[in-house]
Amino acid sequence: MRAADRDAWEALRAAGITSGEAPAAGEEHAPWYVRTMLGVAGWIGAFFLLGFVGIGFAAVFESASASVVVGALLVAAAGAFIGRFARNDFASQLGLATSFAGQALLLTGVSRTFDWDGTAVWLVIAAIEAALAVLIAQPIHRVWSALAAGSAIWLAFRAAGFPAVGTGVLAAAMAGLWFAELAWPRLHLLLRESAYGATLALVFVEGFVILQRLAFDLVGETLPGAGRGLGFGELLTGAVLVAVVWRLCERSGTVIAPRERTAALAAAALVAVVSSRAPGIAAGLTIVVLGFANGHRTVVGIGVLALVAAVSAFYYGIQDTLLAKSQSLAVLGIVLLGIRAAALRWLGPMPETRHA
Amino acid sequence: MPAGRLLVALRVLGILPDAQAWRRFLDRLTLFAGATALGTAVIFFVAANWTAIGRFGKFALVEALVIAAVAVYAALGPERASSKAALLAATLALGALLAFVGQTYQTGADTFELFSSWSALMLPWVLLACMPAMWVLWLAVVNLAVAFYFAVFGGLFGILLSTEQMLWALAAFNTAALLVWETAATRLAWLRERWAPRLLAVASGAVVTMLALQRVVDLRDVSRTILVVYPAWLALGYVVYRRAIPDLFMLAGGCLSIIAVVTTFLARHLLDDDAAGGSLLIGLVVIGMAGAAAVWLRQVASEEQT
Repeated sequence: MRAADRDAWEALRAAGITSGEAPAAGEEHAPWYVRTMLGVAGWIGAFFLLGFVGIGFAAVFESASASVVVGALLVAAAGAFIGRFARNDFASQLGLATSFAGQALLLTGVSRTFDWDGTAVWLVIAAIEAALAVLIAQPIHRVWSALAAGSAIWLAFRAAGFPAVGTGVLAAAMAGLWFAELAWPRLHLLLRESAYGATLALVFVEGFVILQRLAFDLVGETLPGAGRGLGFGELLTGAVLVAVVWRLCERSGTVIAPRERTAALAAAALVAVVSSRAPGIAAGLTIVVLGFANGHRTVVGIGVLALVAAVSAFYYGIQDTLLAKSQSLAVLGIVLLGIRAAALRWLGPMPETRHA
Repeated sequence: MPAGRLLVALRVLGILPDAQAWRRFLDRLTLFAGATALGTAVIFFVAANWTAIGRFGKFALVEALVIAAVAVYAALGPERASSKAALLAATLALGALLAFVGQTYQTGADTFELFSSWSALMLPWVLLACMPAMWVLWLAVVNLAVAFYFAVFGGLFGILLSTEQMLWALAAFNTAALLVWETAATRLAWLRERWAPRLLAVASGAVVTMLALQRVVDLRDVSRTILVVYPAWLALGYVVYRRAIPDLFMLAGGCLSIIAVVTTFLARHLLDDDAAGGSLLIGLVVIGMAGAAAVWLRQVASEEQT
């Protein structure tokens, strides 16, 4: 057992949370960047495996039902392989690439086989990916499946004509998964990896929405559905931010006084409303807050990057003039600094540290 | 362990934030997000070229913001988070001021001159702030200045050559900056946050890998120098991040770069004759390389922990 693990066990025993001897060390989990590297390599491998199937067995690609059958068989075989050789890195990587290739075949086949509208197809794809997230207990695979399921749910809402509602639903699902991570310890691996996938799905969806708006602006077209209320998706995501703050206050119990709770909710609501004209800000803030609340610095980093990207993209959109955007940002800055000033006045000065 | 006890356990271990940590986090979030929003609001304001205010009025407004931000820094002293945020806002407003000078007087200056002037003039504040984020902002501005320089002065052979020159310049600058950062961090504690050198390594690695890929696919007549530089860059990265400053992130990035270059090389030479067989072989090689990387990185991580 590592010294850090031993110290942690001693700290828990001193606090009366555990007793007895420390258990044997469990399986080591690779850090996120190693998993990211392996995930990217898995997709590169899958691309060439798909190329092999597509060129060597062209009939499989040409027939939609053959794509479904072969894709499903590949995914099932990969799932069984990953389950059987979970501790072998080579086998795990082979299973990952095979499953990715199988999913590409399966989902292509599903979308071509059935004569459904877009909504039904995306819902079926979301269900398949959600099932894979539960059934195949490999971290990279699970994050990918949750990402694909979250994106498919949003695409289903988009196909039905309600992309803004889809953004709100996705943000709420992401928040729910992060809260569930600590509420159901037995399922924490499944929930944490799914929450990572949902977080990435929200970032990608927000990025897609922003790029789509920029593309329509570029060619001088009006974005379909824009008339349903610009900023509605951002307002819904802002509502999720307020709900997250409320739930965090509940979770903290008596540590946060009722007066502070009210102030936190009011501040979150104010930020949500002020930032509703700038896509991606509320989502980025929600991710940052959830990441900090659950002690995941990587999630905080994802949220900060999403915020920087959102502000940069905000410059180029033409739904508002640059002057209006400048005013929105100035108001947001003043509100944020005002909230901080109010907190300092109300709660007393912060003990300063040397480095920010 | 029941959920209630789990929350307590995670708080005892310092994994979940306590009330004090929450307050510090929200304080920093509102402070730096607020300062950034105000700074970018000034940039957007200048870009809007609003005619209701005359040019002297605009100059007065932007200069007043710069002076006010620097005054806040001077009044609070160098150690406080608020003073660092004030310098950040001053730096952003300075960029807006320089852009406004170019916009108003039509100096004929190119975009790269705006960014190079900005990087030179912000440098004293970056030095004063002692904050990794300010250095990263400075490095980003210099990267933009370099990119815009080569967009304007592409050399005699046009855009293709200028792209290669730009990539070489960015690779050299970011790699040098990374080495300087790592060396300086041995003396200056505030430079030891790992996210900033990792970001620099991503910038350096992406550009060097791109040069190697261009050479492999022969899309552009990339200099043969990369055949020496790429292995040397990998070897240097191995020595520094395996021996001197163990960092698994950097090693994982190097592995991904090798996988990308080897895969592209194989695809370039194997797919022409037997596309199906070549695809299968390349797929299996990629899986083998990734599996070997996973085994090696796991071993390195285990050695570092013990």
